Amino acid sequence: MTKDRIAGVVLLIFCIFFYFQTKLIDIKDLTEISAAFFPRLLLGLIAGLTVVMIIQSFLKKERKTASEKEKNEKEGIVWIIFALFALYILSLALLGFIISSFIFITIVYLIILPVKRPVKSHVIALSSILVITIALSFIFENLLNVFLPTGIFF
Amino acid sequence: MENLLMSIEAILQWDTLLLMVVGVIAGIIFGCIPGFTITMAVALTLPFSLGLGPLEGISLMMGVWLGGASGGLISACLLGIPGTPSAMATTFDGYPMVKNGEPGKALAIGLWSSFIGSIIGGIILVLAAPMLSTIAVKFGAWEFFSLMVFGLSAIASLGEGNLIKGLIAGLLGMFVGTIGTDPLLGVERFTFGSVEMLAGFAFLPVLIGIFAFSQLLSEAKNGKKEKLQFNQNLSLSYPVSKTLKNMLSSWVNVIRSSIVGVFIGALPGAGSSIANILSYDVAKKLSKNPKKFGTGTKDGIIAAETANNSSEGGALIPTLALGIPGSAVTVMMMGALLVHGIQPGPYFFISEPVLAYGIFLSFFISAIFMLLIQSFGIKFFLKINDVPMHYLIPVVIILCALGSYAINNRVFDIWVLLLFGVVGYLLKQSSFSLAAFVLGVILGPLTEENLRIAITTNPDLTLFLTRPISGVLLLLTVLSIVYAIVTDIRHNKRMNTPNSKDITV
Repeated sequence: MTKDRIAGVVLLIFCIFFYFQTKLIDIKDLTEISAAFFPRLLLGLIAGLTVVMIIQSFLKKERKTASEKEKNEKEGIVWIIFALFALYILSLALLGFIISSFIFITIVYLIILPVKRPVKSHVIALSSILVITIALSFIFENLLNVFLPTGIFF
Repeated sequence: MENLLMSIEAILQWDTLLLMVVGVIAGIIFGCIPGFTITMAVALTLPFSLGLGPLEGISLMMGVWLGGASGGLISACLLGIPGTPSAMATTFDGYPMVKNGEPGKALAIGLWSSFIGSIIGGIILVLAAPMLSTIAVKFGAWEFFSLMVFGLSAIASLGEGNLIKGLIAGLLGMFVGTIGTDPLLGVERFTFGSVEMLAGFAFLPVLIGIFAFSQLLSEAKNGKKEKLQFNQNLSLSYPVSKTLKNMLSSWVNVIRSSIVGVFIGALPGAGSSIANILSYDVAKKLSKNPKKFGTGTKDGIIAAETANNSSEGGALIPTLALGIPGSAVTVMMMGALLVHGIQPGPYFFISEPVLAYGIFLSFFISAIFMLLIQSFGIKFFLKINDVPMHYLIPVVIILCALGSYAINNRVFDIWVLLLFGVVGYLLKQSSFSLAAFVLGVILGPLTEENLRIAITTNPDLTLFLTRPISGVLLLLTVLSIVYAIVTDIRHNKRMNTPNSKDITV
């Protein structure tokens, strides 16, 4: 239940931070309750329930499963993909949709590949990824009229 | 009547029908891949519907939804792993039946059960939703506020997982809904000076982030996917006449399970993933041969598959008539309606009768397509299941990005997607209810509006309790929370029973 305690602390910090943010809301005294009322009410309720949750976490017995350690090791992959995705968004403006997406898909594909294989075997996979990326941009730009970000090349 | 004819005319266009076919195929594909959920399928096809008219868009989503609801049975029967959480109980008897050498029978009965369940669910939806909305038309701001409070507490208390965490998730979602411009006075809130945040976060990237992106990454962690393991030489076809004969001989079970499904679906908080397990349980308890359950009896498959499809019809009742979605998928469908500028709720049937009938019709037509496509395309869907995850995941991530971008043509929304992907992942890891969170995001602004209108009209707070409907709804809120606390205490007493696997949407 340590997870609950960590979540609880994060939630409390969240509540305190946004409580101070509500002080910046422009309060006009036109209505009975101001624009800051509802967010404050929510923050109060969240904080209250979080305290209950933290207390609960001390009362309940801890249960640990054997596979937990293994899970933690794989946890890294998720955060790497999140970070790569952030880089991908940043690169959109520079490289445009097609190139950025192709690079992103390729890297993620290589990361989550369960068994490492020789370079040659990836040729078909990578070319199909390229085809998919171009097909997607074609569908969105021509059929759905969504103009995708273009970079310095095209 | 005139409205109905107009809806029929509107929906029987070849392009609308084609969209439904595409939707059903997409839904079945997502439904049959374990790890991909219906909610994810609806989230990802939603952007494609943006450029379409409301009825076309909703027809596409309806196809995806119903296709997804039945697609789960393929992997449930052949792999023993539910393709979506709503096919959990299908594995109990579907998989043993396949192991007994009758894959064709298992799939055929599952499919026809899905179809009949959808039709019964649809009929009850058509009858009940307009009736409920005529009651709800009399609601004032007080009643709406209490209704939303009830909807949220119900999804937190009746849904899976811990009550406190469910409530926290719902409130957090509501808080996210307050970001942007205040609905009554137009005051800026929590925008941190950013112009993009003035309108708040767009629904779509939030929904895709929470339900698709975060779920995908949990799958990326799991790596390997199970391969289909059954005797490939056995025929997958099974005569329709025999299937229908089998269904007819268990007609009581078919109707009972459908009604159980509709009822569970209509309850806020409990969706098809609970409906199919509960219906299976009911069928087992009332059966003459309860011992047969779990060994590959057709009644088990019928109970599970009729209920998970009929629950979709049930879930649409409160979504359309009250504007309160009761499950993760209906939250997505409500998002779809909102994106197309339709506000479901009591006035929906009065103001948009053609569209309302159109939605009903698309429900039935999608069910028919689902039956046809799955009957003839089963081999193709089995092939799809063989596509490895390391191809699917990165491509679907890019689809998430494209979908988020498409709504406003701005990169900011892809950042929103990433933010809520992380939020969703963290919430899921610490077992907070994602459905409650998203329901909070959708209901938050409406709840605040009604609360403030109510108090501005009359500062007397006791009105929330003394107005009869509002009072009853708040009482129900309290009851649902008490119910959750009681079951939680009971659950804690039984904590020693090992491996009660969590089913998360």
